[in-house]
Amino acid sequence: MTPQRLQRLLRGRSAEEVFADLCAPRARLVSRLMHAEQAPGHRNPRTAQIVDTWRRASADTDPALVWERLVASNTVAYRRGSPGYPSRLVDDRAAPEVVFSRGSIAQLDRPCVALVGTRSATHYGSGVAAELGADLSDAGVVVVSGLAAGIDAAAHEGALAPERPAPPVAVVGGGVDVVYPASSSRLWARLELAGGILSEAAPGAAPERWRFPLRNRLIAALAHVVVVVESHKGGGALHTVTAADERGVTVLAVPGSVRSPASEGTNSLIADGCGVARDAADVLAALELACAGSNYALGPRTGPCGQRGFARHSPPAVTARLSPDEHAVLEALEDVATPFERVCGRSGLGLALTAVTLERLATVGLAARSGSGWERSAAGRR
Amino acid sequence: MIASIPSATLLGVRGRPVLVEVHVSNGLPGFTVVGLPDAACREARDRVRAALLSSGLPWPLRRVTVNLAPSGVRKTGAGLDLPIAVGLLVATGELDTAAIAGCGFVGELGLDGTIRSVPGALPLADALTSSAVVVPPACVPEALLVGKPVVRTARSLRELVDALSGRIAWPELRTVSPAGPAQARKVPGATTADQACGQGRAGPLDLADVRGQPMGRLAIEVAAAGGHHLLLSGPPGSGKTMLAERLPSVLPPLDEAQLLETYRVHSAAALPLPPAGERRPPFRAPHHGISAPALVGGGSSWMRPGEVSLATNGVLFLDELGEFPSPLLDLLRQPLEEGVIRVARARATVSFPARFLLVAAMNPCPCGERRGIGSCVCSAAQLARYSRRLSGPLLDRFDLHVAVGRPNVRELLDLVPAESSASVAQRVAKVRELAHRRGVTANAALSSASLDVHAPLTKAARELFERQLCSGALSARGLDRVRRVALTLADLDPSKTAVDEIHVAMALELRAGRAALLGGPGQV
Repeated sequence: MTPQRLQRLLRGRSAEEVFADLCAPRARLVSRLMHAEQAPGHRNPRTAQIVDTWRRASADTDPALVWERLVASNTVAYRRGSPGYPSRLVDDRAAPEVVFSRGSIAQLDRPCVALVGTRSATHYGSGVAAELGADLSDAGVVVVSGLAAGIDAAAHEGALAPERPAPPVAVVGGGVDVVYPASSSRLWARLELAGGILSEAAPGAAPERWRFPLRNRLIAALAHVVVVVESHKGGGALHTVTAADERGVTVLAVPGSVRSPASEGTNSLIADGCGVARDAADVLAALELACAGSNYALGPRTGPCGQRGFARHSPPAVTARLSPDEHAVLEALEDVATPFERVCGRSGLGLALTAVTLERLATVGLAARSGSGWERSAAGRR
Repeated sequence: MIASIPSATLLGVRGRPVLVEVHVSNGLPGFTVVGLPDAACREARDRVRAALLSSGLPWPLRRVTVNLAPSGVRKTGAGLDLPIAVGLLVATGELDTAAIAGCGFVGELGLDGTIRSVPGALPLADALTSSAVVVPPACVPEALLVGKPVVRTARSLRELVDALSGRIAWPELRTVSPAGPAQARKVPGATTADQACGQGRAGPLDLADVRGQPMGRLAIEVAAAGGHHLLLSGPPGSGKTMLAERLPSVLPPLDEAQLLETYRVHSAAALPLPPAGERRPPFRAPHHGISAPALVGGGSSWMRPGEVSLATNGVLFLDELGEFPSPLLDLLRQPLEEGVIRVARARATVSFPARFLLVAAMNPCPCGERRGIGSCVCSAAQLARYSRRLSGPLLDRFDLHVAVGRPNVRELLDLVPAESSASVAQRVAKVRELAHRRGVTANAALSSASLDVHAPLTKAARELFERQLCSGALSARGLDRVRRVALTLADLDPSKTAVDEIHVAMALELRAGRAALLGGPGQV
């Protein structure tokens, strides 16, 4: 059942009444349910069929047993309007009637920033996401993301650290107990312990394709600021941007190389006039504006994130000490993964010399392996 | 009357001596073959009868029993036709026992009495303990290869009988086999099977034909010099197959022992032997639709050597590695480790030689375009499934894992010829020479313990290894593999005596494709 249907069904009536209707003999209430099911303004010819499906499902369901299972698995369900339900969602235009959570989600009442982006992230994107996650979390901002591979995972990794004042929250597409993708199972477990996992899908629900755009709207609704770290042209992260725009949530984008396909989406956002997030300070400034007038208070600014661009400025001392070969190889590198042969061809050095120079640059943190090639790493980026 | 004729039958790549006993006695006329003959062997009866009659020799209207000793071993093929016929002639008194003394026979008979060639003449002749061997004309070169003191041949049964009884001189060996072994052997279907395995393609190919591809060329050179197994990954059209096919041209030529072993395997598989004087290592490229017995050897009656054995002393090239069923690929693990493959069947266990250089090529992902992020259209799940097709233990066997890209336009149109195979082969030969001095055939075979002795690291090289190990970019198992490749690189580098930082860095780069395939920043 989609959230919209659930919302229409529960409009003006309690869940118990609706359930009773569904379990009752057919004749009495099909019309009532059908009336509730139909969206105002148009008639759906499949309505009778849909109602029938609900009735069959309800007949097989024992609410007490479902509740027991939830309690046993440490899963909490919040009805809209009940205490604990995320306050930012209450008045949302497409608020879920019920959300399920594991871990703690109480921190969602504090300033939240969503870090979103592509699943096939570059080294650069993952690095920025992790940095932003760590710095924002240090500043007392709750990092919200989707626990997908790539940018999402990096953002959570960054934000997850012991004794951070604001534990991150993941909003997932499937049920809170359905680990997806399998590669992030460890991260999933850590988030359950140190942060929170939220979903509007019932426990056990498979992470089907259609759930992810809905999940993205929740992320947009929960956040005060949405930061797109890396996105391909037409990437899924842009759904989050659309949802944020609909809700008037500030959107920032992290600029990337104009040659990197993974930054195509974010660069177009900037071209369209979206704000720029170069580091945590940019995000915090936007967050202050977004939260102005509210009683949200940001934690004290700690760490280097208050200083603009700390990570990006390559320390001149390091680059000055480079040999001519190292300069040549650094010049040949790009912000996106460059095949080794291309680096070699551009630098004009032999294969072996390029290889050893790259290793040396990697040692001082100026270059890093990425896929089958090399790219400039954080300190080497100008 | 009884006669005993020495002969041999084929099991795997070895011949087994067989004594053909023919007993002729009074009784109801009949012909029985006992001693575990297979179907082809049992049919000898009709061929022998027709051959004798068409050669104008008598067929005894008496009771004939043929026993193939030892009786417990299954006899395969038609190679026992000739000894049965000779035995029959001796037992009926047509031939003198003295005429065949010390003589072993192998050959198939045609109905008109011609003596036809048999597969595996080389191992069969080798297995014959008699001082003289009589083989079909086409098999003479193979019999000569094993160094039998007396090799004789005859074109037909009639000619053989006349020569044995001294009525005519033995036919001149040269006149019956004017051409080299490749032309002399006529095994039906062999040519097509051979072409299917890509043997024909590895002719006079030269590395000079490869434009650009500095990494690919280096990988080929290092693989040849150090005997390191090589996995090439790259998008379609990047020249992976072209590079791999040129590997035999830079490998050192086969020595006498290797040549004999290669001939033995090819002979046992009924494949034509390379022309005389050709010492280029074999190159086998089976298609991924190959069956398990065809790959590792086997078969129910005739234990035929598989592609891994045919590639012994040469190159086994598996194109589209990701398309090979993974159970098939895991069969390669034992031969890669031990250099032999033991095929066990209910009747016999056969050990085939399988010391080959494995070269494989594959696309980096199902769509083939995973070069830069963004151009690939495969989903994460597809990629995960693709990289799971290759088992970790198999991937571990590849010392070199190079991602090759499409050459750029300038390199393709460049008129400057690239270095030729001949000059690369010279460097390769020098490195192999160094390896021989270390007591192995190639650096890849050095044991972990001997690495410290033969491949001392400079301080800078040691530091680079330390950094790689500490950062988790290199596993303990990968360490020795990278060290061996680094040693080969150092051997190729005439100015250096110890393994330096530059060699280690290059060796790491030659293995970097592995991390790319496994996805993410995985271990090298």
